[in-house]
Amino acid sequence: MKVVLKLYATLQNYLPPGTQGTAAEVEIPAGTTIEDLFKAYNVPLDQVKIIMVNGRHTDLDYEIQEGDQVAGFPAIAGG
Amino acid sequence: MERYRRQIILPGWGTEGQEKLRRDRVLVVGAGGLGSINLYYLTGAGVGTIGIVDDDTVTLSNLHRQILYTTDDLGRPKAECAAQKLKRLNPEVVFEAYPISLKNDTADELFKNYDVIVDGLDNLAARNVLNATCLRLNKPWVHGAVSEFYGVVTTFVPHQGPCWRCLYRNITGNEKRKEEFPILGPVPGVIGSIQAGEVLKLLTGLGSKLVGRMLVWQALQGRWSEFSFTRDPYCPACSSR
Ligand SMILES: [Zn+2]
Repeated sequence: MKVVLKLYATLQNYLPPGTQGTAAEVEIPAGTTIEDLFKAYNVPLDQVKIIMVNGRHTDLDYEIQEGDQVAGFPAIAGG
Repeated sequence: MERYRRQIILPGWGTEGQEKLRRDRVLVVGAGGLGSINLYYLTGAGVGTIGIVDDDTVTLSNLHRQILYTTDDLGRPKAECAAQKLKRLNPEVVFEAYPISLKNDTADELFKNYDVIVDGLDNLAARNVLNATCLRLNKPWVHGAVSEFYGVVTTFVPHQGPCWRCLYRNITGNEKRKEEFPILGPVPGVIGSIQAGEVLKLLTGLGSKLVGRMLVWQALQGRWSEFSFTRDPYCPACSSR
């Protein structure tokens, strides 16, 4: 099934090569969790401070549904 | 008023808007990369009273981005140095310099006499204090943060929109301050400018607030993106549950 993976700022480097912008459509098998998805793209889990699906907070063990928009955001702390 | 003529002629601003601004009080917490920029514009715009909080001193590795300071200022306390520099830009502004760090037990006293708080901080733990204090005192604040080639900016209006912890629900407040983060100099320039604009909008009531939307500047890709978020019903800071 197809879902949208959105990774921002320092996490953007983990999007599939050639991705323009912050979002990429990716193909995943049914039953994939957010943790599985992030691991498949080598996203360092300790750097993901905000996880949202379709604009709502969720956790790594959430099972992704067809068409979901999964977003990962790091903590940006400097000034 | 000649000093402000070019903004007074802005649609919706007028001499009334300028007079209002003269009575307003803004507190900038952190006079580093972001503060260097937002302080300049807020001072130029004629905000009546500006408080500057920073317990740090000017070091050589600050100067590629903290354009409020010069090589002559090395070793000087930032809060006082900033106030002195800005006074030369606009002597009509009253500056209140606080060479202290933001602490939970003193923040209420510090914030209570200001209308808007501006985030120029460099760590998560202090932002957690800023957020909690603004929620308690019902003060709007403009968040900015930068790292590497990236910057974010958004506005928090307590109890009207989400708070900073609605965004970062997993922050504990015990996060260590990163001593040295890599940063492209102009990135805090971009974010600090938007912060100043948002403060002036809040004070004059012009436009729509940057609430529930975080703008993300990705300098390396040359792209802006927008991250929308809502109040977290389980927010550890602003939820009543
Ligand atoms: Zn909240």
